[in-house]
Amino acid sequence: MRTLIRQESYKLMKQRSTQIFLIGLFLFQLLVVFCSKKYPKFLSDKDAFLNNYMAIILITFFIIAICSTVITKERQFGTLRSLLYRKFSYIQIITSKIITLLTFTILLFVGNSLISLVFKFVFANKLELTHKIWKAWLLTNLNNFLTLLFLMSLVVLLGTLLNSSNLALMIGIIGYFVINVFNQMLLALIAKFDWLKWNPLNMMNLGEQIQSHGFHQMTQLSLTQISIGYAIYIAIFIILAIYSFCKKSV
Amino acid sequence: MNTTLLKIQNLNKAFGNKKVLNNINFTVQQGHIIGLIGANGAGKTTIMKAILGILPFDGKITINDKAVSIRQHQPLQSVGALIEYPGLYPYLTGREQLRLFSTGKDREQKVNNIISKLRMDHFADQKTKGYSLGMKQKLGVGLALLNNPQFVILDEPMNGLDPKATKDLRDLIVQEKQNGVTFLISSHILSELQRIADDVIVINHGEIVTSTTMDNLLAANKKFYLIETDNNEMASDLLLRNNYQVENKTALEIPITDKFSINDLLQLLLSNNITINDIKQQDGDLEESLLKVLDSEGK
Repeated sequence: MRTLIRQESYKLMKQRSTQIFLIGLFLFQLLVVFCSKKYPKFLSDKDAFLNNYMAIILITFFIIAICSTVITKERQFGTLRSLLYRKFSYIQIITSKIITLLTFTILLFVGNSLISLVFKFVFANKLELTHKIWKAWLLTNLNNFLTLLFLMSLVVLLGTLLNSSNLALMIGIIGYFVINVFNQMLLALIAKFDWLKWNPLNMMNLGEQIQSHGFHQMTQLSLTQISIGYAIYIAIFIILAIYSFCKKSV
Repeated sequence: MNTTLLKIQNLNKAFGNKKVLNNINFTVQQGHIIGLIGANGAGKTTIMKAILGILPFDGKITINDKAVSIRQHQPLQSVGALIEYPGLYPYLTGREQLRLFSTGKDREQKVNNIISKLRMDHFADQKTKGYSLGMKQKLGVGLALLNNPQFVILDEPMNGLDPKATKDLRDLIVQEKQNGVTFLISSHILSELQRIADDVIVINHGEIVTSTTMDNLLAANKKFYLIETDNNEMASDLLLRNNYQVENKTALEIPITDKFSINDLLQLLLSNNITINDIKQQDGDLEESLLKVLDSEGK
């Protein structure tokens, strides 16, 4: 498995899109710093810092893109076969891809958070890091991470079902917006139809609920219930993705 | 002593209602080069894919006595393969591609060795998206041989290679065989297989037509003399009367048998006042032999 993860990481980091994204993300954050300095009424130092200088926007799009194409690109390049005719099983191959994506996302969040801290100290040193701000910052990051993790599992499943990387990417990005819109609509519907609270999109609100305990009135689920539901749905999506990957012919 | 490396027993495969492999049985001995021959769609690639555990099948395939299946890939630990066409990442260079798949100790050394063995130095550092078919094929073969495998499966490895690269690859395969590596190779360039394969398995419509040594298969189309005389008809009658085999009366094709003596034959013709205009020895040819085998199967 270590060999597979090493190989997946090598491929990910060698892609021009990853290299451009990492540089672009840093420049984008710098741009947000500039905007917060120039137009503090629109974006205060505090809000900019709490949102990691808006990095989550780019991170979400990039992670959706790589998750949706992680299998389809291998099909497109004809490389899936050469991955499979080695000592590794189908399950090991897809698991290594998922672990690599997860590790990359965690490292991206950690790295990005550190950069945000550096930016805060360099460009917003007047902003005092009180206990409240620390807590809000950590919870915002946790919320973003948990939401993205849920989306990732869904998009990986989608990627195993499709053959075209462009189609997978398009559905992944469009799906992100649709899911967000639907989620808002579903929250309104949950108030009317109690059973709807168990729908998978509602579980995506786990991070929001951790951040704001009052949110349970919207989701109609306790923190324990939504946490368990969240874990179960992610497990189902991943198991389905593995099953679909193993079933598809190469 | 011969050691069985690969054993295939009762291999059957169907795609929907279409049966593509029908009760395939054969073994491969360690250190041999086996040519898998058959027309397009005969089932060669399907057999190779089954051996590599990338499609489900009925029957049993073992490598070093360990069963391979779509779920069990462990026996493929020391197997290298190139199936159909090399799958390459367009954003990597050839060297990076080799680096990616290199495993175990001395990874960088393995990469450099294979680049040098396959003479890929001049394009190893270019992105593979710009490669020609021949360059891709070379890299594909390089990837198959990269981790010093014990058993190598090559599906049409000569595809797209120029004569020089074909010869280099042929020499490399023979060299690797001398190091104890076993090869299962399919190729439509039969003359190439004829030069390197020890054993031959002929497949037709998903069934094994013959599984034999290359020498035996070539014997199906024996060596013969082509003799032109001033009177071929008379010469033919004369030879037939004297118990020679004459397969084609107009061209005087005379197969070379164990007790055959060209001196006796020439003496017989000359003593009967037949003038010999031309005499040529023709070697057995794999293509001709194969056609004969397939023809006899069709009858």
